Formats: sequence, structure tokens, C-alpha cells
Amino acid sequence: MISLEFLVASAIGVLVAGGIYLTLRGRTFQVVLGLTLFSYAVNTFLFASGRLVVDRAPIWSKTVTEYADPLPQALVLTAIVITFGMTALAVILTLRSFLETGSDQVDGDPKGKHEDDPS
Amino acid sequence: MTAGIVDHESGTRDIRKLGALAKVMPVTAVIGTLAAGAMAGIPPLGGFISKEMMLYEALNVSLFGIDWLVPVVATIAAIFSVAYSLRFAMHLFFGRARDDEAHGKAHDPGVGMLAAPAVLVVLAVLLGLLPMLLAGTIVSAVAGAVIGGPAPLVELSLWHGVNLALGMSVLAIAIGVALLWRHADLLRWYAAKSHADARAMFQRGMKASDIAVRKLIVAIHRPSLQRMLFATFAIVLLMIVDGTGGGAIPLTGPRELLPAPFFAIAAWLLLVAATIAVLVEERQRFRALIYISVIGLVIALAFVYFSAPDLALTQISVEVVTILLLLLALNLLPKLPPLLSSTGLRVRDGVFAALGGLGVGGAAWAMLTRNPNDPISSFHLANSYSGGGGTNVVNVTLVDFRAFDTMGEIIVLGIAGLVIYALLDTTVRGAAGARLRSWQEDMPHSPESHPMMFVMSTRILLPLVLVAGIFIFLRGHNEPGGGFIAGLVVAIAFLLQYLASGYDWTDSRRRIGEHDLIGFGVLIAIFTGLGALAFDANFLSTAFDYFSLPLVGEFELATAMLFDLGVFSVVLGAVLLALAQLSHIAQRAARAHAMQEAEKQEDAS
Repeated sequence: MISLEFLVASAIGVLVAGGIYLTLRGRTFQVVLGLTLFSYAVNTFLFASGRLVVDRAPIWSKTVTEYADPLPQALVLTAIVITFGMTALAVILTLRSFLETGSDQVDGDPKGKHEDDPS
Repeated sequence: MTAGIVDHESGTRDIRKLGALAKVMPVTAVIGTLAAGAMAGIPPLGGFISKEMMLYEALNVSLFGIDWLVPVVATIAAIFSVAYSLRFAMHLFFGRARDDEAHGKAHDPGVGMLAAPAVLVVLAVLLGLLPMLLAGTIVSAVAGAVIGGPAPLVELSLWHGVNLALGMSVLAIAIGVALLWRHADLLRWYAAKSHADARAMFQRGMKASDIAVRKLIVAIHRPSLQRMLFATFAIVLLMIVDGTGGGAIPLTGPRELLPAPFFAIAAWLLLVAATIAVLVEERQRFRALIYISVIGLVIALAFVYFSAPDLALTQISVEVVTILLLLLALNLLPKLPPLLSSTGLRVRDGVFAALGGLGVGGAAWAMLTRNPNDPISSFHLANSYSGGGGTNVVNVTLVDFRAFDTMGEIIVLGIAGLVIYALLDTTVRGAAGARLRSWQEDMPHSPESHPMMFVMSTRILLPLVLVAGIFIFLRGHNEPGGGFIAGLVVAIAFLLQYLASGYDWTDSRRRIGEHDLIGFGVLIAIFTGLGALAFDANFLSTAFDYFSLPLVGEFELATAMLFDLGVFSVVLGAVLLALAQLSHIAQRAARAHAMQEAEKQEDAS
């Protein structure tokens, strides 16, 4: 029988593998995609540190005694928003470096220049 | 200060050109001579007392096991301070005028310039005459603070009786005066000797360390992101392996596992398939984005299923803005890059990535199959309603228990927004600007840039989404929602206007700037936190109470809501700043291109 824990752990593994592979590519856009995969994996990992709990949302009520762990959720909530900030910054850096150098190679390598470049 | 005055009035600070200034600058001369006397430690000035004390204490210090070393060094230092202080006073103000030009110009400055050194000199004189009255309390307080204990008894007086320190002082003054007397001979002797050039030594030292650092950088810092990342990942992977004790700790823990229902397996398959599709189709950039958004949706669904409604709401709204952002950026980036990595490199990275995935996945599995070790979360659950006044524990944690974290995070987000603005606003200049202007649209565009249906529906939706945003904001304290999510939802509502009606139409109807939103948000969050100090509570403590109004019924007001308003404002501002600026850049580029096309057509006709 497949457990939920196995699904989550293996999904994190798959996302990390994809993230590593993509961030090791030489093109800025792939690196941004890799970062996105990474942040999914990291946020899920952090969230999972509260363990997997079904149907016990941390909304306090007098009649309920068992809840999901609220602390990792609070941390991950801000992490998701910060992830957006980080991704946005990486995207803009990507764009600016492409516009400055005419190359979308991560190290600004002129070998990666495109043919229609004006300079 | 006296040197500054002399420089200002005579036009030079070269002591070899000056002299006999007492005739033309009498007041400055008095002040300068007294100050030099205090520095030299001539009685009855204040400097004498401090020098006496210094010499006296030096007698009690033994360095490297040699009792006389410190007293001798202290006396030599005192000799030189007497010599240069006296030379300063004597050669500047007395003797004969050596340079007529400097001497002719010089005269006493106004009160404004003289007042500052005069105050200090008066203090120096009075300190010598009335030491205990003026400085006793200050000296004992400072001495107490330095030794970190109760203030020692300090006796300040000019006359300590005949002792060794007095003898050292007299010796110092005598030799100092002698040095001044034979000053010209000493200078000639010094000039005749060959001596080390400190500047050349310094420059040689700098050059040598510069070369060494360069070699070190070339050795360890390869200018390649891929290599650096590879090394980083490899080290993290080794740490994971090391953390398991090299396999000594069993991978699977004792925790009881949850059976996976059918739809969970389906969602997992979707996620894995989408990730593989991103990897396979990495060169088809638009398609890769679609697969990425599928992954984001599955993650949001997982949050719903695993009892995290706040996270699901945040994830899905962040997903929308992230994909919008990537689409906008991709519009300007090349769509189809040439295949750069060799097959060998791709295989190596693939194997390495698989190992990394196994390592992190294994770590996640090991964690998930073990029970948490006495989590501190029970405190948050127990005190959320009674202490924080809200039943949504996640939100209360964000705005109350861990509000300091949240405050830092909104500041970081605001900074990210401003950096993005700074990076984009300057893009139109230089090489980047030239590339932007020659940018070619390479995607076929719809002939209708602002489709009527889209424009109208987004305009009707705007007030509705705003109401929904306010609703999500207000319920956040007790139900899933809050400032983060409301900020994202409202941002999406505005972004839809940019999308449907264009940047110019939307921007001209905008009343509040994004910068103001970010600044307002950070400030209101900080001031809400500071407000707690006025009630003798800790920074960022919250207060709440229940009120009732006719028709509305009983409701709660919490200061945490003000803090959440700050969060809302920063999120809204930062998201809008990033995306609106990016869309504007693309539009500027497109407009410049269209103008070029129009000019070409005019030339042709």
C-alpha cells in the first residue's frame, strides 16, 4: 500500500532533482525555472516538518483537541511570499543581464549571443 | 584647532615658513601656547596631572618580565610629546618671522573660530588648578565603567610630593627642552642618515597582498555559476549523508503512516509528469511555464488536503502572479536558446540531480516517518484565542507570536520590490536600452490588443474582487485569510486591469504609488509594534477587545489588524511594483519598435 508520506517525500525528491538539473544549465531562464522547482520542494519540506495531518486545520475551536501543527504553516506562508520576491528579483536580474550583454548565458558569456543582437 | 586657525589665516601649515606669529596673532598665540603646554605636561596645567598619573602607573607595570621597560618607554614618549608640543608653540608664535608673505597676511580670527579652542584651553588650565572639583566625579565614573566595578577612589591634585614620577616628568621636560634647543642640528643629522621610506614599504606590502589575493581568487572562485552551484549541492549532499551517520540510522521511523487515497496518487502522478515535462521541454520555454503552473496547482491542492487552508490560498495566488511575471519576462527573453550543454555534461548533471533528489527525498521520508519531538507549537495552539484573540492560529502566529519575523519579511519583500524597480527603471539607458529599442516581436499578436470582453469583465470584476479582498483581510484573524492573501488577491485584481486595459490606461487612473504602499506598510507595522511600548508591553505585543454595534452585532478589534494592514500594503505594493514595471518595460520596447516601423514606412512612401 502506498502511503501519503511516501508520495510527499518522493515528490520532494523529484522536485529537488529537477531543480538541481535545471539550475546547473547554462541559460538564465532554466536557472529561474530550477529555482522555482527548488522553492516548491523547500516549502513543501518545511511544511512537512509539521507532519502530514488530514482534516484538522489549525483553526482553534472549543470542541476540537487535535490540530495540524500551525508553526510550520506560518513559516511556510511567509516563505511562499518571499519566494515570489526572490523569483521576481532573479527574473529581473536575468532580463537585465540579457539586455546588457545580449546573452542569456548565466555567466554573461558572449559565446551565447544571439544572431540578431545589435551590438 | 590652533593649527587650523593658523593655516586659515596665514595660508600655510608648514611650520618651517612660520614664526613670530605672537606679534600678529596675540590671542591665538596665548591659546596655542597654553594648549601646547598642557600637551607637554607643564605644571600647573591639566596635562601635568594626567602625565604624572600615567608615569606613576607605568612604574607599576611589568612587561615581558622586565620591570623598567614600560617606565622607560613612557618617559621616552613623554620626552617626545614635550619636544613636539614646545616646538609647535615656540616655532609658530615666537622667534623670527621666516616667510614674510605668510606673516604679513596673518591676524587673529573672529570669536567664532577662537571660541572652540579657548573653551578647551580654559578647561585645561582650570583642570590643573581645581582638578577634583572639575573632573573628580567624571574620572571616577569612567574608571568604574572601564573596570566594570564600583568606582575606585580617585585623588587628583597637582602636587603629589617628591616621587619617581615627578622625577621622570622633570627629566622628560628637561630633555624635551634640550631637543628643541638643538632642533636644527638634529634635523641635519636626520637628513644625513639614510632611512626607510614608509610609503614605499606600504606600497610594496599592498602590491604583494594584492597579488596573493588575486591568485587565491583565481584558485577558488571560478567565474562559473554552474561550477559554484555544483560544489554547493555536492557539499549539501555530503552533509545529508553525514547526518544519517553514513547509513547507521534506519531510514524509516516508527510513525504510523496514512494510506494514500486514489486522487492523491493521481495528483502525485501529475506532479511527477509535469516535472519531467519541464525537464524534457526545457527549451520550449512557454510550455515549460505551463508545466510549472501545474506543479504549483498540485502543491496548492496538497496544502488543502493536509489541513493548511491559509497556505493553499497563498500558494494559488502567488502562483498567478509568478506565472504572470515569468510570462512578461519571457516576452523579452529569447524563446528558443541553442542547445549548449554537451551530452556528457547533461548525463553527469542528470546522475548528480538524481542523487540529490534521492538524498533530500530520503531525508523527507526519514522525517515524515518519525514523530515530532515535543513541538513548541502546542503553546501557539493553547494561547492563540486567549492570548492573541484569534482562532486562526496560523494568522495569529504571523501577526502576534512571530510578528517580528513577519516584520522582517515584509521589509525584505519591500526591498525586493524597490530593487526590481531600480533595475528596470534604468534599463532604458546604455546597451540595455539599445537592445530594448531594437527588440523584435517574435510572437504573433492578436490584432485586438485590448479585447472588449476581457476589458469589460475585468472592470466589472474589480470592485467585486476588492470586496473579496477586504473580506479575506477581515476574516484572517479567525478564519483562513489575512493580510498576505488579501494583498495578493487585490494585487491580482489590479494586474488584471493592466493586462486587459493596458499599462497607460491603468496607470493614469492609479492614485497611490507602489512606493508609498511599501513605505506605508512597513511604517504602520513598525509603529503598531512600537505602540505596545507605550503600554509597558514588549515590542509588537498586541491588544484586542470585543465591541458591539447595532445591526453589526458583537465584533472584535485587535491591534494585530493594523499590523496585518501593513503586511497587506507591502505585499500589494511589492507585487504591483514588480509586475507593472516589467509590463511597462515590454511596452516601451514594443512602442519604440512600432515607431521605427512607422518611420521606415514613411521613408518608403
